[in-house]
Amino acid sequence: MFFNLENKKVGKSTVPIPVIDADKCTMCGKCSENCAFHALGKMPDTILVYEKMCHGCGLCTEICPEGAITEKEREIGFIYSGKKEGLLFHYGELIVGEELTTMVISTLKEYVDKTYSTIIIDAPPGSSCPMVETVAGSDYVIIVSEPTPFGLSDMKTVVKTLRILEKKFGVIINKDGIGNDDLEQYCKNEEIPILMKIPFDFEIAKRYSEGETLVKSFPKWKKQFRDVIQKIGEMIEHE
Amino acid sequence: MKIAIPVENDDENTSMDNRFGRSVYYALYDSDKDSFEFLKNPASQARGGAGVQAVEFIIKQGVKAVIVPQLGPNADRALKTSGITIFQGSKEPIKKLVEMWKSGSLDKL
Repeated sequence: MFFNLENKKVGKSTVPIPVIDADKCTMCGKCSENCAFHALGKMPDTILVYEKMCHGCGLCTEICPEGAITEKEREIGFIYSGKKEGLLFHYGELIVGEELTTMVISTLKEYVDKTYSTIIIDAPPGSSCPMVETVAGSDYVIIVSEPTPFGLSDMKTVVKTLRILEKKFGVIINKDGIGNDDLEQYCKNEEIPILMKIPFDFEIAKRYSEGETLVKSFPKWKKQFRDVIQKIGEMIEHE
Repeated sequence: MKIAIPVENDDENTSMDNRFGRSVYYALYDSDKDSFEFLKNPASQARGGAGVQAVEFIIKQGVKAVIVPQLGPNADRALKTSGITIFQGSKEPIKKLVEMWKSGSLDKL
């Protein structure tokens, strides 16, 4: 949206779902008993497969004593890509009605070109599976939060999650000036670096609503972003 | 023959629950003994797939018919595949629903 790229569809995201061979199936029920997502239902003379509930973990295929289960791929999303001025961009799209965000993110990450020196992956907000999948494998996590009670409360769960994942992280405070100082105080107490503060500013909001990036609208921010990237680079190298 | 009805409480004066897969209990009416038995629904608090688990549970109890409110799409498919007879109920006392079943005034789904 902000980069005005012409994106092309370059791939798709699929989930492997079970196909049961009724001739081999002895109706033992092991698959449905052990399915964590209840995507299989043992009826009196058949096993029902609920394709949309299946997360594609492959457990049923693995444990079927008769080898009666094979897998087929179910399409749940697509990957798009565009390029401009040294910037390689990819994004994933979940088909409307599908729920397995995490699978699309996982597929998207396969498209990461590791020859690039800096790779930024934008995570969905929150601290649940999609965020965990996004940050898995990254060297550093930038938390973007706003200094309000809601922002702080959500950020605390994110911090908790990142600590379990043993990730290095810092915070960019967005809309600095609204709310209160609790978030900053929390960061100080917890020794979490504050990387940057973006003020709560009418002009910034206006340019944003016109689809323009902060750096393009106000070039003085370019240096600040560069400094943040450099600082993060140093923090990672200190490992 | 055993008939299952989703209910909120485990006593004979209770009424049918509006939810099938997530009801707290199932009232099992045994037409041979003319008596009720109440079983906790193991799928009541399931994070997902409650309908399917509930149907699996009912099948294990040897139930041959159910009296139900609205059904979710997953429970609907499971029940129809299971061969269990499905009767349309409403939020009435279970005793009344059983009487209606006996007199043949419940609609088959």
